[in-house]
Amino acid sequence: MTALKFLARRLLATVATLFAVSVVLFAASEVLPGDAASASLGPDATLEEVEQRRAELGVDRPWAVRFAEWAAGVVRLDLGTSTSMHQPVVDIVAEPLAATGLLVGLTAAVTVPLAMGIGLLTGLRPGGRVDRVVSAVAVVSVSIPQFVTAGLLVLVFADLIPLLPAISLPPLGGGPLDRPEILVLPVAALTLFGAAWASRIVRAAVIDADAMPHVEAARLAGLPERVVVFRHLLPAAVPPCAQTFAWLLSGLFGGTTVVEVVFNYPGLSQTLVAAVRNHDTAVLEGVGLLLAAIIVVSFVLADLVVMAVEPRLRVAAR
Amino acid sequence: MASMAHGQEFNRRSLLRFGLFAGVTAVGAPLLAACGDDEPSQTGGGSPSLAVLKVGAPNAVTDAEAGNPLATSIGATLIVMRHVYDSLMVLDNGEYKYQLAESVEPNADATEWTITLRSGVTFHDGKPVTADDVVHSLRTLGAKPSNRVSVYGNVDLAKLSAVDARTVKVPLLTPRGDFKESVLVVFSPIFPAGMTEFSKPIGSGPYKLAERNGTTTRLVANEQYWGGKPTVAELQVVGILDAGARLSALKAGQIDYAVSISSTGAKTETTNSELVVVRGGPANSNALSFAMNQKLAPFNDVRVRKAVRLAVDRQALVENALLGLGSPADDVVGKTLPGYADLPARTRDLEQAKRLFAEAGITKLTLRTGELVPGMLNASRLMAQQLKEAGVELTLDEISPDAYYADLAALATFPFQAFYYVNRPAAVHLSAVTHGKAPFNVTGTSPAYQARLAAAQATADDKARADAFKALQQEFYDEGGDLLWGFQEQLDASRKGISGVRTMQSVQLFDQATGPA
Repeated sequence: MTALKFLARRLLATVATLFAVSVVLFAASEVLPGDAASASLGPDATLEEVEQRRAELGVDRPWAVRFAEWAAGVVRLDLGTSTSMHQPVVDIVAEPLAATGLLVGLTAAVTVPLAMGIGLLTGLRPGGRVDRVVSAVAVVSVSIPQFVTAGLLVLVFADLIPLLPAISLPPLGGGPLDRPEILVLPVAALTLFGAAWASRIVRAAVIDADAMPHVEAARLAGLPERVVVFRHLLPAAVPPCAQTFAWLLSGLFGGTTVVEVVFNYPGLSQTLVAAVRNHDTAVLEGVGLLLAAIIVVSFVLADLVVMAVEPRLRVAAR
Repeated sequence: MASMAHGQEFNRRSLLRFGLFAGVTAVGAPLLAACGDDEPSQTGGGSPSLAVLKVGAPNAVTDAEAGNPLATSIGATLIVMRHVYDSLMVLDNGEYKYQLAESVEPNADATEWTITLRSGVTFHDGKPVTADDVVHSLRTLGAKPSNRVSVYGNVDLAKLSAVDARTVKVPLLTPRGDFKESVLVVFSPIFPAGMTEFSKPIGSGPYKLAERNGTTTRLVANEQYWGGKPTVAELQVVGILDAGARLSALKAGQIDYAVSISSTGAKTETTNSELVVVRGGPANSNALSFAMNQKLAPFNDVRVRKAVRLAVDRQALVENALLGLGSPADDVVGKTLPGYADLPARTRDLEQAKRLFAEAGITKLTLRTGELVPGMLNASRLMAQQLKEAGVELTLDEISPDAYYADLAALATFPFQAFYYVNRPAAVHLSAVTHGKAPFNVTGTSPAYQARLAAAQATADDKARADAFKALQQEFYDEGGDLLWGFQEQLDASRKGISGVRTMQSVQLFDQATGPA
């Protein structure tokens, strides 16, 4: 299969997936108790006011109609207008998305090499002392809930040893990059979990690759260990690792919520929480669709990486 | 999501808390001071003024613009709003006080009120505050998209008029002796005539808006403020969603004052010498209730309502469910606030409760409950044990907090449910919550009661109106449907040495705060 054909098929699948996700999101916001009308009026509104507001907002119409309208907007790259904030969803989402993107990007930049390193270190000598110690640490940090990890980091690095800010406040008139120290603890909290989890999978992939005939052959041929690892073993471990990191990236985008809340980081989670509480379907859908798109695209990228590596794999295996 | 669990105060319930404050119809007693433990701290004599004070407060997720008086509900944006604008009247330290108004007087039958403005007050742009500004402000507040429309429901907005530069006539649709307490005190911020857009708010308050981003609003002192120059030169109001994050920001020195911390947080920090936990007292609290609907069986039998009220141990509920950070309540909202009828404290009487339950033939009850505010579920469980001692099996029907208020119309169809109100003047509460049309009338008051309520509201004479409201409170105390068991205090925390923070109508004011030497 050529890359082009592959891409075309994946693109179709992507559109179908995003459509399905939109339907589910729309349906989910339908079954949430209350609606945009009662949320925007507040609880001292009378029932008549709520009904009138429902008509104004158009939420009294069938949801299929509203979905069709919304979907038509999306095709024109118009995500609609927020009912609670009276602004285009694109404007509302842009800054938080960039902030969360920064957090995820930095976390990935730290986590990927770290997980590869740990995975190699433990996978090349499975059962060794290093492996046992590192594996134990990894298992523990994967199993601790993220809000506990984040809380412990605050306790240690902001409270006991006041090195870093406890919450991430960007300066007025600036973004997170204008005060980079506010990124350290959130990235650390995300990395602790991500690196521990991903390194387990890298480790397994390294063990599998290590057992492959061409790696064994390379060793028997007397090639230096460095050459064996980087030329022969690592490429074989790339496909599972690429998938893992695609998972990690998409997981990070959806999974920064806890960390963003603990550090009051100005990312997507607050936007999402607000949208759920205000029954702001447009914002909810917009954020949901963006997250879904990011996830799908990261998997497509992972597949491309795998495709790029595979021919070499086949050659090497012969 | 576990860390969101104590974020309860930001959802619809917080809207309830503050939205209800904007009561519809109300009467207060005459201007009468309540007992004074509702002030967290008083201005420290001789303490130095502060260059910068940073305040962390919950974000109000519905309020995109800090300082928009048409859409503020809680937390950070409400604090900004209260510092930028002056109101015509306020409830301050248990007293109804004039702020921008100099006097507010009714005609003989209380169908038209005349507001006279304080002279010499200017807006932040230097223009004087005039009657035209008041007319514009009240009309804007009383119409959509304002979320306080209901406060002005009884005002004839079309006929509102400026008589001269300092005088405004306010005609009402029906006579209301309680206009000041139920309208002006509840919500009356004044902004310049013609202001319809609030991204660059202008008020006459002690602070001017200087700068803001998504989380932080920077306010600078209005040096010309008529009410006295603020002691804090720059106030930064930081929106922090999570109560735990507010506390850690305070401990790390990123903020000086944390609005609203959890009761467990308050317990933990009592030994921390760097911090001071600021308790709001009953005046700044949620009033927690188990509401019985008098219209529905079995609570249409007054014996059952009395028996339930006698069977519970309120002190135990406060100690356990509120970790002691509150005080027992006696079935009527408004304790320590103006107009409270000074009702006797309820005491547990198991024998009488048993007898009344037996007479009414009650052995089983079901309570609709959920963790609307922290501690409510524990209180419900404890009440089940207490009722068991009175021979009644209580089944708990647990509802998720997000679903609790989903269907407003259905609220009146549940016989017995855990509920909470904001503690505010009893008369305001009775009017806003117990009248026939109120969505939160979950105790099912009778048409006869509502007729008496309307008569009391229309009474022009302050003394007679206060008496009428006291009689209504007595009636509610004797035979009403709330088992109001506790006041859950507003809990804040501040850096040691900060004083002079006032709480006015559940909003913290920092203009007279002073810092450590």
